Amino acid sequence: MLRKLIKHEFRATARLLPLLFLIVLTMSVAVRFALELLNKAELPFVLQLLLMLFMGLFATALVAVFVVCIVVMVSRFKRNLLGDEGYLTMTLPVKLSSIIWAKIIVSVIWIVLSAIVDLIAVFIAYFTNSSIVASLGNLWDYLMRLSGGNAAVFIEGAVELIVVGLISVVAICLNFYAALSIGHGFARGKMGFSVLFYFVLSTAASVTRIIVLAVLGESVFNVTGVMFLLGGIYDAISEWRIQMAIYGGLALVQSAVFYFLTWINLKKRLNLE
Amino acid sequence: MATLECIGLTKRYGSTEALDSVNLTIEPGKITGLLGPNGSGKTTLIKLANGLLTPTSGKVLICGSAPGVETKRIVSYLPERLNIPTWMTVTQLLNYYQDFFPDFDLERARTMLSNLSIGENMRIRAMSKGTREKVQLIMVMSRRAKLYLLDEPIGGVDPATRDYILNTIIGNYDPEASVVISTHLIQDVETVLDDVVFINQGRIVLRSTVDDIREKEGKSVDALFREVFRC
Repeated sequence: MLRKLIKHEFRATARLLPLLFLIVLTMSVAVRFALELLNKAELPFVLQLLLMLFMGLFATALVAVFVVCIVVMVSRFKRNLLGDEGYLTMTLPVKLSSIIWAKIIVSVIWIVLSAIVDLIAVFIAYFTNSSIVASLGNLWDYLMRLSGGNAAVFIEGAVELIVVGLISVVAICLNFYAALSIGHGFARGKMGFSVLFYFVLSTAASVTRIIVLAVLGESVFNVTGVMFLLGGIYDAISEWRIQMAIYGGLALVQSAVFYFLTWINLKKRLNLE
Repeated sequence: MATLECIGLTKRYGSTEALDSVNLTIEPGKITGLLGPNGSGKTTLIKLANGLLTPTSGKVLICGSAPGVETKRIVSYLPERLNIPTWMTVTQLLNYYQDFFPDFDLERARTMLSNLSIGENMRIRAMSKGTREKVQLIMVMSRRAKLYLLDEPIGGVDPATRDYILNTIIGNYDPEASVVISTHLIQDVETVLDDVVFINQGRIVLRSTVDDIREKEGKSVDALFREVFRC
């Protein structure tokens, strides 16, 4: 059933974002030409101004992709579960957990796709073939130096980073879902309470993160410091792993708490009009 | 086994008691009218049976089971409000129902849609309010469910649409299934009902067959309703 839920979730959310991706990519090609034009020829001031404005618009579009992605995610959750459509969605013969997971999976995919599209658009707009090769080469050299010239260690580090990144995106989505499901349990001012709870939950998560990082960061520093004093070498790989474990663990705990809040509120406090 | 059973079912919203120790049994093969004035607890009872609300105390059972994934497979629910996604086309809606409800009869739905000349490429958003309601009813009645819970199916529609809705209900439900119709428009539904349940302020005040009311009381259900709920 999860597969079917994901299919319909994509169908519902795919009406706007692919179009926006296409617009951003088309704009990136236009920006590329504009930059080449600005570099090669002496253009009238008005034309230069217009091209600069267009580049500003492109930067706005890059941000807009993420904003629209979040708006689509929030509005879909609200309409499909907490609005009139909820009468259908919540009476489907599927587990509530499957419904929530379908939304998380699809939202994460859209957010990741947005990041990829933005990255491609930036490369198209600002990098020439030679500068891309040079930049990627420099980045590769830097990362290999960090990982002690060991490709396997680098790949492991990259995978850790991607996993932690994905868990963090899940936590971001669930922060919205938890806030909406708590806020909509109230008889009045549902959206007001949702916004309030979004800030309450995200502040609580930030404060927890700061405290945990302060406590654990101190001990991690002590461990590496003691090792250094004892004649060991500064171990960037171990430090990276520890950091990834801390950030990943925090995002995982945060996701679990937000998931539980979403689930329990939809299960026990659902308040459809 | 009863299709729907409420045992001491109570639901409170804060200090307001929406349902108060309701005991009710709905047997298979009957069309039951859940009749009561606005705010009497009809919708709350139906929402509880659909698992959209959690009881404060007591139990609601569908074919012996508490509301959950299994009962949702056998309950076809028509809420008061339009619940079908308006961005969908009719084809997408048919596909949606077919994907999630194993008892959905696609041919039955297509026949009913075609009888109303509703094209499958039409978007729900582009339809009139009345047509949307008909499409929603067609989806609900195209399921071969064991229990149909219809909340105010004829509220706010014109007399011709009322006739269409009632004919669709009678013409499509499985004789082995139970139908619960919640409404306060008694006169319109009276002819299709086998049993009636009068509910007021969260309590069942009368339970009878329509025949008994006519024979013993010598009144129509509508006349009895007006008498019981006189302000």
